[in-house]
Amino acid sequence: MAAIMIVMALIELENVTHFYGAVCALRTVTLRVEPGAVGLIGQNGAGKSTLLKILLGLIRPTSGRGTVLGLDILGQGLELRGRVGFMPEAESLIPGVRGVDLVALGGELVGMPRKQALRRAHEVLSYLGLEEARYRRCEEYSVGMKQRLKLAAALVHDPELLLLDEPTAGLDPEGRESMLALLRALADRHGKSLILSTHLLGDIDRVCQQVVIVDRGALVSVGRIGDLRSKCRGRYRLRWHGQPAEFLTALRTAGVNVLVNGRADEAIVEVPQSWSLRSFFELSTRHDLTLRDVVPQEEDLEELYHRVIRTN
Amino acid sequence: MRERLPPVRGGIEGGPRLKFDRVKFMNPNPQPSSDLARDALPSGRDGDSTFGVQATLAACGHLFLLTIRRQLMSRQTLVGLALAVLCCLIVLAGARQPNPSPKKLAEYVLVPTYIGFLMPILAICYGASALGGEREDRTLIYLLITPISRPLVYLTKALATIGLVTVGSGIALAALCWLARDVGRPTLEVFLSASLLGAAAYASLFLMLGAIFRYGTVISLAYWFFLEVLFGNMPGIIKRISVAFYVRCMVYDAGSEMELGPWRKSAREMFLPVSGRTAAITLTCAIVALIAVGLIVFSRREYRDLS
Amino acid sequence: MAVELAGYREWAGRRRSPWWTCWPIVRTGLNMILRRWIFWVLIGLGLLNFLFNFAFVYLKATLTVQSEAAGGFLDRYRVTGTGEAYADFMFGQASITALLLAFAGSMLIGNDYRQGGLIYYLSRRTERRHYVVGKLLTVGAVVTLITTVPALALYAEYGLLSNSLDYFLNHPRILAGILGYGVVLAVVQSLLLFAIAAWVPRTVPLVMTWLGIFVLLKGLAEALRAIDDNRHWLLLGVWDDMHRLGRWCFGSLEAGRIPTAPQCLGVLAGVCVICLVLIVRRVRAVEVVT
Repeated sequence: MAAIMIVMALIELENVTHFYGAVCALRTVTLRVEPGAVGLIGQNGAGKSTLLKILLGLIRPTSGRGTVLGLDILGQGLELRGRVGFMPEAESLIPGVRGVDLVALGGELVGMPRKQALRRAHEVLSYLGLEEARYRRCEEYSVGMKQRLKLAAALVHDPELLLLDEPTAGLDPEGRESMLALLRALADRHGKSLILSTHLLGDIDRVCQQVVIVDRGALVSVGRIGDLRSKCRGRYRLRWHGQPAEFLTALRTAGVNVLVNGRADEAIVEVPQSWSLRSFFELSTRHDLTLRDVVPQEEDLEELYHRVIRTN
Repeated sequence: MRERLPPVRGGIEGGPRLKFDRVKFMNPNPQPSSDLARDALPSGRDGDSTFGVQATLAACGHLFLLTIRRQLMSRQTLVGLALAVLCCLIVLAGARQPNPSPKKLAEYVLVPTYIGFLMPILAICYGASALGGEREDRTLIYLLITPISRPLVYLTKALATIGLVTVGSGIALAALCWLARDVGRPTLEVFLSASLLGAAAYASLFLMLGAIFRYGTVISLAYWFFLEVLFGNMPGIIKRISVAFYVRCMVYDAGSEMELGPWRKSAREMFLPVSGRTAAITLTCAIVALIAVGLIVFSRREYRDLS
Repeated sequence: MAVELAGYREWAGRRRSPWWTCWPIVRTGLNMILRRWIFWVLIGLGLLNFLFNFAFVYLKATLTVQSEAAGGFLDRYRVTGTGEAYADFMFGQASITALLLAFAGSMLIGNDYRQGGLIYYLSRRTERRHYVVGKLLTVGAVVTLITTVPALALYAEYGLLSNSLDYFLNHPRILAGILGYGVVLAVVQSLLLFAIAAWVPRTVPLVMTWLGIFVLLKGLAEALRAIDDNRHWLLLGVWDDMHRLGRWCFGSLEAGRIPTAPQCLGVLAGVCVICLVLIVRRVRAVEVVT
């Protein structure tokens, strides 16, 4: 008998809508996300931060319901926040408090005993490379250190899920690289699920396997990045020897969309549904061109994002 | 031969000259462009000294108005108004008491309520936050990158703040005296000059404290409580370090015909007043000295809490 | 890089009840106050008053042993061990505490609304009610440490420097008075400070509002009373209402004299309810977490 394995959803939302006064921040969002690293993409004001706060139980949605880690976001916010770590975009630190005390306070606020919270704060700060700055007051930290400090405060109670709102904002390239490596390590080596909300698509490309795209409060697309990319069928990268001008004109005449033609010996093309691969070779032979490569081409995340938003 | 660079007139050495309008104060990334600066400033030619003076005056005017607007459009203005309303209610109640007189109004109401509380509180409200607020909000950088020199920035701020506090205090005093009806008119004459000088002294003092200390607002409040309220009511000459002492001396001197003075006998005996003229001269000298000290400190200090 | 140097370790300990989270909030608040020198000036002022009274009680006990008349002479300076003396001492300490709270309110509570600190608390296993109770307890702890605890120490000193335990046995009302007055001060001041700091979080407007309530309302109450000697107007002075209720706790409030203790209690209860409504509205407002 075949064993059926049901993977519990990390997040399940059903018709979640939220209004700030008369402004609709989220419109009937219904989604299901599996455990793992999930990217949350959208423009400014698209509703990303609102969605994160609803997932955390900080804001009660105007209508709709949902679960995170199997816990109801409406009725089990307290238990939920005990199993989730949140790194907000805003500074949200307590001025006058030392780094280690702030992180330990974060642990105590989720119910850890004082001694364990303090020990754990030291561990996490060391893990994040802040061991030498831990006794400084948090307002004296640099931007990059503050980001790490916020991550430490989110990690101190070893949560199953991390909600990260713009974790690389304000970081220099090295700091960003280091933060992404940390996040990847947390996801890959320590089995943490992440919801990474950012404008920087490159960050999501490097850390996440799944993506949720929101636009003006509405859910536009959700799924595995690989799957979403594979929807982009009919795109190929062509490389050749010879003069391509007549060949490219023939392609265009045949209804092929030539997308990128930056180099003299290659192009990315989008073919119609009825297109057969053999047609490339027939046309190249007819126009005295040698095709070296015909490789199916995937979209990068940025293209995917723009295509999805455009389609929406 | 080495080329000589033109002198930099902005607060930060080597900093770009910027378009000077109010947008700059809001914009964290102002565009460094001499062309923009030329567009924004009055007509003239680059390198022309007349142009420089005009441009600087225009810039100072902008800063002056911006300071006043920023100070007025704040929550503390609302709180200040609420306090003034409470003081007005006290005066109204005082005017309805049996046998009202200018002496009673001055001694029982205006000296403790207006001179002892409202005037210094208004001065702290606007004086300490003129620079202290900029430091607290991390917006001082936008003042320092303007093409105005630091001493001029400070002087403009001082003018705006002193103007705001003196006018605000004067209006509050006039309102209080107007509410007191007949007994208010002679009292206003007694209090007006002392009130204006006192408000200016407080404003320049708290502005200076904001320029010197990181937590200028808290220091100003602490100063007011310890030096003005506590020491100001102690026996001996220690009270002569407080602004309120000289303001009261001016008031008592101007109101000598009404026999004004501290209303408790013990307080009257240990008040040890100076003449009104001496008090006025002392307050004027104090205003000049406080502005000078603040100006020197602000011009030379490297602030760490810029951004 | 740090990831390679130090491994991430998992944690699977037992978690305490969310009500425990009030304690770290209190401790953090007290630490924040004790780390600033400016607050030590005020704490020192309170300590000075306490040490002065402490030394006086000691002096009186020593002199009384040598000469009853000398002890009686010192009683003229209110070091009598009576309820009134403790009420006066606590009133002085409460004035210092009020000033300290005016300065510290912005840091303890206002910053949570100005700099997003509230999200830090609420994104944990902490509900708004735990946060509010934690902050109220912080202010209450400051008040108790500067007013009630020194008064209890003086009470203990006075009793222990006498020849028997009679002082404790004969004056239980004093102990009740110290605790009662302490509770009144702690409850009213903590609710008032929280409500003001949550709506007016910056230091200067907060201090203006705080002092306005205590100083100007008292002035207004006196001015209104003087119109036709209607003592009910005195109820407007919240600061004096607290003191009157404190004196009632000690049993030293003149009976039947207006304002009476129940009237003061009614006014203070009304103030507390208004403060609670303001606090709840502010803490539940969505903009504090967005």
